[in-house]
Amino acid sequence: MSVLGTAGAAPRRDARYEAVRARLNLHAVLPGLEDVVAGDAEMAALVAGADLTVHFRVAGGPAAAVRFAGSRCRAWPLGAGAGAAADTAVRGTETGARADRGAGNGADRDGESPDRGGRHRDGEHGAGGRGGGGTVTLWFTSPAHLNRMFDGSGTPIPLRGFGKLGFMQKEFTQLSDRLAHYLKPTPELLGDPDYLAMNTRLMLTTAAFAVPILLECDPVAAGFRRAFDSGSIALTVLPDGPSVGLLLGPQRIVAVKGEIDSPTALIRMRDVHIASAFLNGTLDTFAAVACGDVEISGQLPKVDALGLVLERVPIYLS
Amino acid sequence: MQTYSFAGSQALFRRAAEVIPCGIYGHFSPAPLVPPTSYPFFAVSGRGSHFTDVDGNDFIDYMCAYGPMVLGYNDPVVDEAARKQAEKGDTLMGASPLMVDLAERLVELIPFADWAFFAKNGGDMTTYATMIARAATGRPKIVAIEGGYHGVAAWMQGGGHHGVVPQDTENVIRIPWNDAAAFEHVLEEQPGRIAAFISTPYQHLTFADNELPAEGYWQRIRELCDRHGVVLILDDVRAGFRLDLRGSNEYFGFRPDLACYCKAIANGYPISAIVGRGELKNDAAGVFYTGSYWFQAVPMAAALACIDELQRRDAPAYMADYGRRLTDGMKRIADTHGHDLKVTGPPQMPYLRLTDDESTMLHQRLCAECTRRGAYLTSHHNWLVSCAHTDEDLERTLAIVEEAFTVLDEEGGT
Repeated sequence: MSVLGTAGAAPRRDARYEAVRARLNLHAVLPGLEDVVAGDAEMAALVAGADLTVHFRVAGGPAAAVRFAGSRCRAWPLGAGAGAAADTAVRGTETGARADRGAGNGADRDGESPDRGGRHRDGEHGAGGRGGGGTVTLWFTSPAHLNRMFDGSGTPIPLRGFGKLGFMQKEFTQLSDRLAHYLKPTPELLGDPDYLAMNTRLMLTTAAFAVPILLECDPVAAGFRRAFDSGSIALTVLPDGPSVGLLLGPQRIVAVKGEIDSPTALIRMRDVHIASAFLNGTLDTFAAVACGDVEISGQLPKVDALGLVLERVPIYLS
Repeated sequence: MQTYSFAGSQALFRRAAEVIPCGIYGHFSPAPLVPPTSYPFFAVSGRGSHFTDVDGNDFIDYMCAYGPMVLGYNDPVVDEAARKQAEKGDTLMGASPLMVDLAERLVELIPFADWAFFAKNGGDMTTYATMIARAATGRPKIVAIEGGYHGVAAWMQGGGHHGVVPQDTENVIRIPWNDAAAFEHVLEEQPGRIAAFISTPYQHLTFADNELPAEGYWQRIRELCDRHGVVLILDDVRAGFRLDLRGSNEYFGFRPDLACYCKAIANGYPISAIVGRGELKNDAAGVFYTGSYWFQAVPMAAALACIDELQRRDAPAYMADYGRRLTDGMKRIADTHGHDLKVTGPPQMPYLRLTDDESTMLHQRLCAECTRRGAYLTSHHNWLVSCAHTDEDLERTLAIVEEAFTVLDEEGGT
């Protein structure tokens, strides 16, 4: 899957690269399934009857879960851990307790603000409840193994939920393929308003949820960490959304879908076309700001730093 | 009070954006002006402390073109000197005798300086200074201050910025401002590897309160440089000739080994300068460093006239007085409206910020409302005053500020 265009020469695909990429795939890209199910009627119908949770577990981390229930889909990161012990911890999560995500290790899907008091108001398309249904656990021997699956060339090792493998091989695969389709824009596809809207939504949320990961794991992005020590950043596509927010703190950064209250920095894109160009890296951002196509205000150093961090995304995901 | 509109600027900008990266690039980019719709982008003329934009709006300029304007736009004395030289020639096949005059003038003016060298931009001189330091010491590393800005060459920019690769910055070590202990720690950690320490005379970052040096800070830095054989480079590009005509180091009580100037040296004519101690002259001579227009005679004539005028008018004192009256007046107005306006930095170049709002959006609105009424203020950068700002300008500015605060109060929120 590719997001946010390309970023120059291909990096060396060493273990560190694969680890960062795996986290981005699980915690920034995978949550896009929520939006595809919510916004694509065909996909919503495809998974309408499903009632199960899929766990993605990589040896040594990371891990994530996707739940299908009541015609909805919800994704969230899981705590670190491997094998059966971690699976038990996951069941605890399924009954409502949130897995402890530790410091700065990714995105909070519920929209709660542990540090800043920002309030998540809308935009969440969660599945109804976390209990019930079966569980499929997909095991990956390494981050590279997981990344190969996202690239379409790898196969996970199912650890449990063999009775649900039919769903995985059929419906889930179709859903994943549709997500990949939305994340590989072409000029022709972007000419379709529905595709453009979905691509923009997915790019925006992928970008937001990638930020905490990159600030923690990418050595270049980590150089900008100090800019994110306090406050919050809101990104909005005018006139009616989507929106995402970043709740900042010295220990942890949380990405949320939807609007946030009283951001200390604001980025508002005039419309979905401007947002698409911005997120696909085809916009002269300085010119766009001066023209009013992109409105920025508040703590501008955060906006500047955010732009530089986001430019690291294509290094891993293009 | 009339509020301006900027349709001409916006239209011209859209043309510009088609054929120029960013439309308007660099420090003149409208991007940090919030909102851009409240600011002019293109200026067509200037006189004294005022400039006129492409829409015919008149502004009292509190940015002074980001520093070069110090005597007033189209100052008659400086312009006359430039015009006379232009009639004789500018870029000719030979250095101008004025280059010698100007070097002697700077050596006479700046107590620690034994020689001078000229280029066009401040960044030309800061890069040259680091090369001189490396040549003199044989060492590779440069210590700079976190967030410190010394121009746009790759080594000066932060890692992760466009066009900057790790190899560009790997020999630059950044330490906190006002932390001599951190510098000492670097010197201990990297014995014999540090060529230079480069800094502005005080901390004047964008988007942040300015910070003056702590008591004894510069003296300690000087002592450490002496003990470890490190070249002390003063980047006086922004503050030079505003705090003290002898160099900002005199204002703060220390002696650098090299000092770089630009902005106010020639009232807007393009020239920069570096001066240095005699011990470094041969090292400077050994570094091959040049530029096509670095021998232009007109800017040198302008610089000589500008320096004379700055001395005649006791420019730093004039600008300090105006700056104090400006910021005192603004603080009083802010207080009456229930706002806290914090002032930092020297009065000639103050940085102001409304502290009521952590997001800075309120301050951005204040500056925008003032600019729309004819007092050009930015919210992200320290302001600069000149010898051309008058009592009339001050009175009008404070009237504008009063109305701007009233508008903010009426609109409410942040």
